Amino acid sequence: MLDDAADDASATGPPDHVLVRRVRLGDRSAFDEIIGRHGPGMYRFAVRMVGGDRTDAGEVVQEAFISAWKNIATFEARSSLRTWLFSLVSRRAADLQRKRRPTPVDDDLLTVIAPAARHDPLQEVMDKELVAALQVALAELPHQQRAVWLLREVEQMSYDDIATTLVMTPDSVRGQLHRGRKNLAERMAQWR
Amino acid sequence: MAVERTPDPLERATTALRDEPGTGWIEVSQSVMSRVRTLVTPASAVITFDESGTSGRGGRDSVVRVSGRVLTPRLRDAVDTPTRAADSIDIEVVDDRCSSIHLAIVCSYGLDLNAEGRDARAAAAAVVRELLGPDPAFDPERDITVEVVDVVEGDPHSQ
Repeated sequence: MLDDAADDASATGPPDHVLVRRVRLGDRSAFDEIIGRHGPGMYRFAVRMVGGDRTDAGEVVQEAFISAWKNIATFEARSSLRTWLFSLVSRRAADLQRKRRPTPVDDDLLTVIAPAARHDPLQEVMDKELVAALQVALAELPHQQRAVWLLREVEQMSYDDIATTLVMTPDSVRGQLHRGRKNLAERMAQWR
Repeated sequence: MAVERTPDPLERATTALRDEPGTGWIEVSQSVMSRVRTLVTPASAVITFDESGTSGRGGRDSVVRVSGRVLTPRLRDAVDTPTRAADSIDIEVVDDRCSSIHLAIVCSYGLDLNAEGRDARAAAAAVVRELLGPDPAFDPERDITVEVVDVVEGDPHSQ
């Protein structure tokens, strides 16, 4: 079940809110537990948000955790720790992308540049090539559309959690997801 | 990373992404933990008192201060027991002196909460005495307040 994915992270060890409480009481080891629990997903998300560059992704995740450490006293339990941490990654990734290069902001642009399925690719395409192609396709999506698609399809977050993470309404999440799926399907069609 | 050969390339690539090993994460996590350890969170410093109840402030002796970053974890360790967990610790500092401490605790179901509160206060008072010395203006009975914010079944440290 997609919506249960967030709870899986807490399946072992104390739940997130207990770790947050311990960090607020000066327990640094609890923060290490938070890093170990949520870091892999945040890093995977960051890698795909910054175009596949693992050095940039590492920087994004590090900045996100530094921000979390500094602001954990003000973190409110209205959202889950996971959505809060992913929101920090999303913002840092957007900051980095703005510094590095312009990204498309209009879905119409994507319609124009979407490549047609011109040829039959090899059926036995290497997994890495397929993922690399998806990475290229993802990089062409607007930031928010890319984030929505990754959080839903890869991190398996619920619509509500994605909305909280990206400060959107659940209806906007559905709309962005629909467009993201459509755009990616068009770009990946040549691999059929 | 084995990708199931479904006809839909996007679906195949998505599955591959989900199953992708976290290449590089170990190195990143070490770097993140090291970096976070170097960060210092803002905290008030509290002056200490010698056995005669003087701080050296205003005189020729140097003043020794203890950061809230030191005080808070020590208070947490003292207050925590297998059946009691600190939920929050608020230290009020006025004019560099610890003027009050508010302990919020979570207790296991079935305990004598009054006794738990008294015990938590005594444990905190011992830490204050040990780290800050005998501030004549600080009265643990008056200045350390305890609030039981929750009662839980089982281990209060994991809920």
